[in-house]
Amino acid sequence: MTDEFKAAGCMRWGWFIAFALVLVLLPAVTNTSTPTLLAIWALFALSLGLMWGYAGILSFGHAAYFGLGAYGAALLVRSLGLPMEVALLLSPFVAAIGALVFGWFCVRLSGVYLAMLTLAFSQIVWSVVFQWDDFTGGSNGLTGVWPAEWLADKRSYYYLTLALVVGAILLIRRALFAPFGYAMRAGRDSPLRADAIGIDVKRIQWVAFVIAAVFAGLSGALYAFSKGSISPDTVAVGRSVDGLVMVLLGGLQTLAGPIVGAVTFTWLQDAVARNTDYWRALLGGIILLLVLVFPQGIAGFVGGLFDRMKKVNA
Amino acid sequence: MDYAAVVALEIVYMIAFLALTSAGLAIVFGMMRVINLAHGEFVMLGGYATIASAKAGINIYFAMLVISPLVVGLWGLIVERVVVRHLYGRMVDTMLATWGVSLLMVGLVTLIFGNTAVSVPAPIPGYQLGSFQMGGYNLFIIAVGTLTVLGLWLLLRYTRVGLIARGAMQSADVAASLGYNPKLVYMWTFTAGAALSGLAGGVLAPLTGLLPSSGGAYIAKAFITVITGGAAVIAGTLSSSVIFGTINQIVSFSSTPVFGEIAMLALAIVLLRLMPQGITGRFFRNSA
Repeated sequence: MTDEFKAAGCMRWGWFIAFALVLVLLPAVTNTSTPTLLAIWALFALSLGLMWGYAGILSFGHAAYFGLGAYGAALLVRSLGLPMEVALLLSPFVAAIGALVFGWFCVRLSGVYLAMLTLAFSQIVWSVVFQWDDFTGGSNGLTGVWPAEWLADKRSYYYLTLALVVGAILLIRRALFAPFGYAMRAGRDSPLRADAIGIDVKRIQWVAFVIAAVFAGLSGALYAFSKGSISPDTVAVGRSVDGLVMVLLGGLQTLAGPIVGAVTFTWLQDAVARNTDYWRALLGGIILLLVLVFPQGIAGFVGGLFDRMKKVNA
Repeated sequence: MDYAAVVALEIVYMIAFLALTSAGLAIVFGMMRVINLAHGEFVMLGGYATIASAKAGINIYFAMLVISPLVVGLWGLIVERVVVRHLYGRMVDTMLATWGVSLLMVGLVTLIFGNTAVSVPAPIPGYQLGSFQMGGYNLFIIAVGTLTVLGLWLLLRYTRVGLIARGAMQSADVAASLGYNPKLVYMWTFTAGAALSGLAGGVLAPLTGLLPSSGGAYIAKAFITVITGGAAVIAGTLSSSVIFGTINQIVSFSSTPVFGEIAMLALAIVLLRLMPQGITGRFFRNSA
């Protein structure tokens, strides 16, 4: 079996329990929305990592599904008057419907053309959201999207987010080790061979598209309720690239990679943005450094270091 | 009648606008398969170069036609030497790295020029067409766009430089064995693409005010144009500019510019669905 399976499969129990404790106790340390955001970005990055690392689809417009989830949730609450809980559960399906349509076009292409088409789709979503003042609030966005009363406290909202995100991660993990997950990897590694043994690669990619969109949509909806308002920025190209950087930071083709990347990214942003106005420029520098010096991502780089140390010791 | 003339002029203007803003990207992507996500910021830098020179009292035509291409070309040369040349053949890494470059550029320009809009007045006054007031400067853009595409075509098709460039793109090994260093060709091609982006930025600067974040406005349209055009640099960019410019303006005139933009993007998606290799993947295959 390859490292990929080991990395996703073996989570040592001790680490796991320590990690769980940290997650549960996080709100005791800080009463900001940072822990909630960490969980949200982890899910967003993971959904992109699923598509990119496992299905081999490079999406340059992943923010579209994040935005569809966020705007879906906000509009379900504001225009249809649905309760927040129902909106939260329905909004991922708004993103899924978007992905059904977009994915049908996208999976026919490959490589750079596919990447550009996903970019075009997210740009369409962005233009609609940005300019349809009556429905989406235009450049001002939508405000007053608050969670239900029992979730009003930041801590309860964090625990809800954590529960949903952990549930989603377990579901993704389950899917990756189901026949569907293997079919997805087969299509990524060798589309020709996969086709030859009867896997409908395009169809699998289409399904992967929709699954990734559902989870991105969920993270978007969680984001909308945690902020109380949303703006077209949630759908902008920058958000898509943020996601790519998170995945790249952590490394592709592991389940933990995107999560590590998202946490690192959010922490960096939090720590740096407070001290300088030039956070974006610094982010640019970080991306350059990553691509030129650590092409395997941080998790990949550290993993490689461990492997080398093991070899030295053995 | 006047109205038809106005619409026709606006369509031609849009085509020239698309061709101008995509030319630099088309050179870099079409010939080198490098996706430059900092393209919009290259255009933005060209605009700033023109405005800063004009404010310093330099003739504005000299600024936009000479200084902007030189400044952005030089910057492109630096970017190629420091970043891009390490990443040839690694598409995703190139995209991310150039995105990093674009963020750096936005930061640097903000640092130097501040985060406020700057502008220069258009050097050509408007004129009256029937009962409609038209921007005279648009005619200048149409002229520059036409000359750029024509010049590029002549250069690639009929000069030794163009021949070497096309040869190195088709087969780097053969070019190398004939004594032309492909790495140098890549370097100059990227520089030329950047200079074209600078030209576009300089020429368009008087039309709209500039912010450090203005580059984002060009990138999506330019990419859609280039990708839909396909592999042939000139024929591809030209044909997709014509299609998109026409659709964009017709829909814009019959509804709002918002729908014009959406119609253009939607059309691009349908076209790519039908012709995954772009227009020139199917038609005009043997053109430059």
